[in-house]
Amino acid sequence: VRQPTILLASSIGDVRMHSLWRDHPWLTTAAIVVALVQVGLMVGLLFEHRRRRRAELESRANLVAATQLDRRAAMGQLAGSLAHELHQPLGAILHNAATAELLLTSAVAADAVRPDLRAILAEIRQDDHRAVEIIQRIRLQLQNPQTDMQAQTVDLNRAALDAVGLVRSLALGNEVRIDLDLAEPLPTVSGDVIHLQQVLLNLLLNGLDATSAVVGDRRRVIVRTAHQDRCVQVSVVDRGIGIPRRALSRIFDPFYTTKADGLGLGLSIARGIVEAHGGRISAENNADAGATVRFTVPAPGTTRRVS
Amino acid sequence: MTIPGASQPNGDVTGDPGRPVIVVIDDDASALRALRRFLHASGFDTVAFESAEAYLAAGPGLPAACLVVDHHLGGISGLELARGLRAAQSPLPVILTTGDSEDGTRAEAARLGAAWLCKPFDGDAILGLLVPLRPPLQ
Repeated sequence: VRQPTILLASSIGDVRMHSLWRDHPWLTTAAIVVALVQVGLMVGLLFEHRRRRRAELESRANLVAATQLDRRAAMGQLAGSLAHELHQPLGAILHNAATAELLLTSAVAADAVRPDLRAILAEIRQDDHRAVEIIQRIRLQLQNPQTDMQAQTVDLNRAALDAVGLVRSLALGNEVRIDLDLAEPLPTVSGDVIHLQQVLLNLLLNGLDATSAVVGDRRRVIVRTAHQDRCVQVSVVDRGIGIPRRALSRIFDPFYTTKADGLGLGLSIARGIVEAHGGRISAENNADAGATVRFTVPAPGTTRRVS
Repeated sequence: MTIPGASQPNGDVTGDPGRPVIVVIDDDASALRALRRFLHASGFDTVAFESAEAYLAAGPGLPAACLVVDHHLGGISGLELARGLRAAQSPLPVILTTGDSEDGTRAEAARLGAAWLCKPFDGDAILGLLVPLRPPLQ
């Protein structure tokens, strides 16, 4: 049944090609050449588009992988202070449990120790919750790498509080005061909360480093959020040693570092994350002392106000 | 029987006279409360401070049998306090506690003659250090 149709089609084609070719040989050649060039261009563009997309995905995957490494490095830096923070509630639970045992085996009447036991149990529960919260904060930072950044609704005030929570113990040990100056209400942004928190963590750790070399009142880091020009702006201000003038223009370059033991990746990764969110990051020295690093993340459709 | 804990910790002495007084310094309110409870239930009195500075402002004159101080304090650290007390020739035994087992401070604590306990530590561990300080029961 099929064969005749094909024959018919090819014979019609033959006839048309034949007559066209005979009547307008140059025109036909030109038309065929133009058609071939067009097809070639389209195929070329398609491949180029694919190649670019692949390169884009690859560079995004590289950023995510580098981000993961950097996050693990930051957590390594925090390991000691986080261990201490976790051991506080665990130690308290141990002492409370031991006290309860002592009370139960003591000669004191059961009724007399009842209020104490109740207080002890309440505190054990409270300290247990505290330990769980610390572990959750750590797990969030160390969870398995995601193949790409996730788009969620992010409250940068909340992210700032969590990041400060992670470095609080380290700051205490370094005798650095961290103050929060958070704008309320602050519009949410769309982005990956872990990655944005990592930017904050990076800037905070840099701030702690910069202030550890100075003394007294200058051991201070301020985390500030603001809403302006349809963006949420986050600034980490320190009163530390500042950024050397020649380093200012290169500070976000990969492998550029001013620290003796730095890899020079933290700020370049921070820039990668911020730019992947459609934002910008910049650094400057303060007029009085120290430096400010600020980044913005677009917060479109943000006229929500609480009156 | 009353157990310290509900009351504010700053420098308040608890319990009856005659029991050895242990000075406890920790900036974590819950850890401080739990240790005081345990020491009290084990036959000691405690005086508590939330910082080394608060202790130095009020405490050094206190008749205490021992000082139990957390190393990780805001301001003057536990080790710095121990160092200061040694420099001032204080005979007060010092027990340093820390939640960070990787602290490189253990050797210096030993050099200063201070005992070292890693949090979370068992009640028996601290009692083992404190009981010898308790006068024999009549």
